[in-house]
Parts: sequence; C-alpha cells; structure tokens
Amino acid sequence: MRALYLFLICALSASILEASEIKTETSIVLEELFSNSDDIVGVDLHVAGGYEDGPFYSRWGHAFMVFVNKNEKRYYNNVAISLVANINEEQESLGFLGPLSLYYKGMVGSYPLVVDADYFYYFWQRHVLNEGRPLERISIGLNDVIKDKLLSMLKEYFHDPSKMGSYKFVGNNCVVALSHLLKEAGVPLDDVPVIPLNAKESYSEAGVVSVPTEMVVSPVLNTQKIAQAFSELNITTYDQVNMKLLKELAEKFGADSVYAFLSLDRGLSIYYGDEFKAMFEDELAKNAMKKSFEAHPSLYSLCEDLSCAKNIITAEKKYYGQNTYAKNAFRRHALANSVEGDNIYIRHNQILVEAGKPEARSVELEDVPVASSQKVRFKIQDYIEDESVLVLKAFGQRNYPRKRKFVYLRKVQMQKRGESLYFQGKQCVDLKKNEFHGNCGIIKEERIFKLYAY
Amino acid sequence: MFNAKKNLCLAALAALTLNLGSSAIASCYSEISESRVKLNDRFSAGGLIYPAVTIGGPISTFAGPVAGAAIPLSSTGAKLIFTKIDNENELNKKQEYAYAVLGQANKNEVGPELASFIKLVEREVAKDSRAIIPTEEEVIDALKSVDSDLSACMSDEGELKKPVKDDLLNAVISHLNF
Repeated sequence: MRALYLFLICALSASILEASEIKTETSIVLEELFSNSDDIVGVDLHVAGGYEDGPFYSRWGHAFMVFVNKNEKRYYNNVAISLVANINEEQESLGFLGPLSLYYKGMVGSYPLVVDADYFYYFWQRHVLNEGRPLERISIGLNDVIKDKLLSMLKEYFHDPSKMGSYKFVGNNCVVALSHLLKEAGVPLDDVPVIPLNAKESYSEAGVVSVPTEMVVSPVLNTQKIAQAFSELNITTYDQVNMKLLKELAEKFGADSVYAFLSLDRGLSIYYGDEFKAMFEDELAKNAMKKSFEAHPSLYSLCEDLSCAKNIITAEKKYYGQNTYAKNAFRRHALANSVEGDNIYIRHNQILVEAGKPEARSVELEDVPVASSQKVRFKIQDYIEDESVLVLKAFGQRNYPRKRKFVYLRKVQMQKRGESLYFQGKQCVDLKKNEFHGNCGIIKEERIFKLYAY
Repeated sequence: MFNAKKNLCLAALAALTLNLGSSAIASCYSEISESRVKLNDRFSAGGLIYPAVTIGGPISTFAGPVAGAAIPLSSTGAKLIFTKIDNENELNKKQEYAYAVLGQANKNEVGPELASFIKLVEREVAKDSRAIIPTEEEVIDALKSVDSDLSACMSDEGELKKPVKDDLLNAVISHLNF
C-alpha cells in the first residue's frame, strides 16, 4: 500500500514528495532513538509558521518534536517525530470530490494518526528550505522519569497508533497530539495548544519554557514578494533601483530576503550587492547565525539545587554570551513571579532565578500599589539629564473602596551612555525607542514593585 | 597482434581524452557553479529572474561587468524565465542537495546538508557490523576526493552529470572502501 502522510492542519503532501529523496524509514529512525534513550536530555518542540502558498489550514502552522541527544554533534541529525494523519493516496485519488473530501474527512476524524519520524534535517529541508516557512523552537528539558515515560508511550503509539485516536483538524491535530503525548508523560501542561501557532503561549503559561524561544527564518522567504514589489513599482531598468528603495524593501521583507533577491540577478548583484551587504552587515551576520540550530545538552537539565542552576548559568553565558544570558535571566525572573502553581519546571525556573539574582541590580519602587485587584502599568516618562534621573510613570485603577484611577511618578538614578541609560552599571533603557532593553524592567516581587537589571 | 595493438592504442586514446577532459574541469562542484554563472549571464539581460531556492551554495556567483548602464528588466518575463531555468539549467531539489554537500565540504563548513550527508554515510557503513565508522573529517576528505577526481559526477558512460545524493553516497562509500 502506498501511504501518504498528509499533514492536514500541518503541512502539504506535495512538499513531502519533493523532500522524499532524503527520507529515512520511520522504523529505522525510531529504533535508533530507542536504543540511544540514555543519551536523550530534552526535546525541542518546533513550530513551522503559516504556509502562505498552501491551503487555508496550513496557515495555522505545523508542529513536530526533536529529541536532543547529548552525544549528537550536529543538531540536524537528531531524531524528530511528527504525529500526522495517515492517508491512502491511491484510495483518496479515486474520490470525485478530490481535496474537498480530504478536508471533510480531516474534520470528522476519518484518518488514523501515525508516528512519522526522521532526522531533523528532513523536516528542516521540507519546511524551511522548500516551503520558506519560519521555524520556532521551544526547548523543554526532561528528567529521567518524564523521558522514560515519553519514550515508552511513543513506542506504544508507533506499534499501535489507534491509541492516539484519529486525526481531527480541530481537536486532535499535530500539536494537540504531541502536547497530549508530553502531558501524559508528565510535562505539566494545564491546557494543550489548539493550533501550532499557539504552542509558545501554552507552554510559557505552564512555566515549562525557561529560555526564550528561538526563531529561524528561511533565507528565501520573501524573494517572491520582492519580485512582485518590483513589478508593481514598474521597475524596468537597473538605474531605477537605488539604496533607498532597497532599504525600504529590507525593512518590509527583511535584509536576508533582499540580499538573496539581489543575488538572483547578475546586474542587481553587481550594482547593489556589496553596498547593500555593507549597509546591513550586522543584520545579515546575525541572521546567518540564526539559520543554524545548535543544542547544548547542559541547558536541558531540570535543576533541583543551586549548583545545577549555576552550571546552567555558566553554560548560557558561554554559549550565548553575556547579553543573551542577561535577557534570559530577566525573562525567567519575570516568569517566576507571574506563573502560579508548583511543578518541576516552575521549581527549576525559581532555582535558576535564585542562582542568578546575586548578579542583578535592583531598586524598590516604593508606594506603588501592588494589590492583585489593581492592574498597574509602567511607562518610561522622561529622562532628566541634569539630575541623571529616569522618571517612571506607574498608572492604573484602584477598585476598592471605590473605583479611582491613580498615577505615581518614581525616579531612578541612571547614567546616560550613547543612546542607552545604565542602571548601576547595567544597560537598562533604550532612549531611541523609549523602552527597556530585554535584560531590564519592572518585576512585582514580595508585594512590591522593583526595577531589576541583569 | 594487430588487434592487441589497436586495443592498446584505443585505450591510450581514451585515457588521453579522459585526461584532457579532467584537466579542463577542476571539480564536480566548480563545473556546476560554472553552469549556474553561465545561466545567469544568459538571462540577466533578458529580465528579472524568478527566485529559485538555493541551498548552501554561494550567495553571489556572478562576475564581470554588465554591458550598458541601464539593461532593461522585464518584469513580465518572470514566469517564462523561471520555466526555462527550471527545465533546462537550474538544479532540481535532488541536485541542489548534492551541490550544497559538495560546496560545504569544499569550504570545510558543516552546514545542515553536509551534517545530514555525514549521517547517511555513517549509517550506510554501519550496515556492515565489522566496518569501522568513518569520522566526520574522513567523510569530508572523501567528498573532496570524489569531487576533484570527478567520480561523484561521472556516469558509467563517461559523461558528466549533476550528481544527486545517491551518486555522492556511492562515490564516497567506494572511496572509503578503497
């Protein structure tokens, strides 16, 4: 039987056929995964963004999961799985309704869910290279208990897919099925995401994600749109193109895409390639780095003590650099104080916060009300250069004893260097954008608002 | 006797021809790169080239001056050119993969394609339980060799072709076994 895995909400069958040259049989890949189970340290949930050239349902994204093996030198060779609808291509092609019958059957649950496994490269080629979709990674550490359960359930589902239920466009699609698998294995998700593009929110709300997600964008994502823009602007000669136009296109479609577009034409490349590259050097270099995924096994540990947390902090600084670490640390701190409940991921996060706090600088914003019934918002009001003082505005509404709006102004000493304000030696405010840098901001802690800078 | 001499002469001629061919073509990778430059040379004056997906290869492979200050870019010709490229000269998905593998091996940069290819080789070699799994460096060296001796892109009939994954895999495995 020729079976075709159709990713109804998730992906397109056509692209699967295109990428089939490097497809490895699911059973072979899973066998490798199960035999190396001791080396698995965590999973990465990947969400491929909406596929604009595909049918409407692909605009909700597709999710699959990568098992991170601590001994795998190359991220692209880690095993990945996807839970997909299994459709008999030959049988379906006989139906006179064609694709419509696929949609209908996908809605009502006519197709069984099956496990499709391959190395990450296969999924990378299909989604990022062939379909030009962005890929977002949500890293989730696993302890031995959760990992063993996850792998044993996966084995069970592979041998008896009926245990996963049937594929349903709404209710049991790729991300729902994967999230149920993780939840049943012990990852404490309150609610499973309904569509792939909501995965990040659901996992963050449950406190499962302790580092920011990472996004990879296809280098050829928008080249077609740029070609279309040229056509709409009626550009017919090279001298109609100029750096101002290219800059505008870069802002709209991304420098990567514009550079890729220029390289598609000899004249454009020669006339504008070098100048454009020089102008967007930083962005192009940054994106080039982002195009490659890596995994650092030590970052997938789930900590129960401070020494484990300190190791993670050291590893984060080493692999990502001080700036990224500082942003991660601030985000974790804010998350630890906003997520309620108690589970192994929340505890892990709290321990990381404790371990990172000694490096942070903070100041209390006294008298700003913190009662849970009062939602308080903060705004960067002004910087008084003569006094080296940042003025913060706290505003909101008091509900008791009667509704009443309030505004407080609080001053914090900060030094100006270039376009940034520094708080006790730590970069804190971007004056140009009038916003906090990612490593700095207000956190509600122990019934008081504090400004923290990492 | 005559036949033997004739065969010897033919063999020598064939070897000479092959050598001449080899000396003109530096490597499979450079041959493919060249053909892509020619392709773009031919069409750049004709109009806007429809974007094609390029994996792992050099972003800009163009060289030389453009004749004239304002060469018309016919936006309406986009689709037609794309069809020509797709059908005649541009690499298909399978060829793109192999091209990227060769390119990354030449630059000693283990990108996604080369990483996955190394895995393929390891798995293929591991089918023989007595075989020693090659290191990453050994696979890269083997790739460079089969690229420069053209065994990655030479058909059984001695014709050059754009290799696909299996061509590279077979050539590398043969090279490693040898």
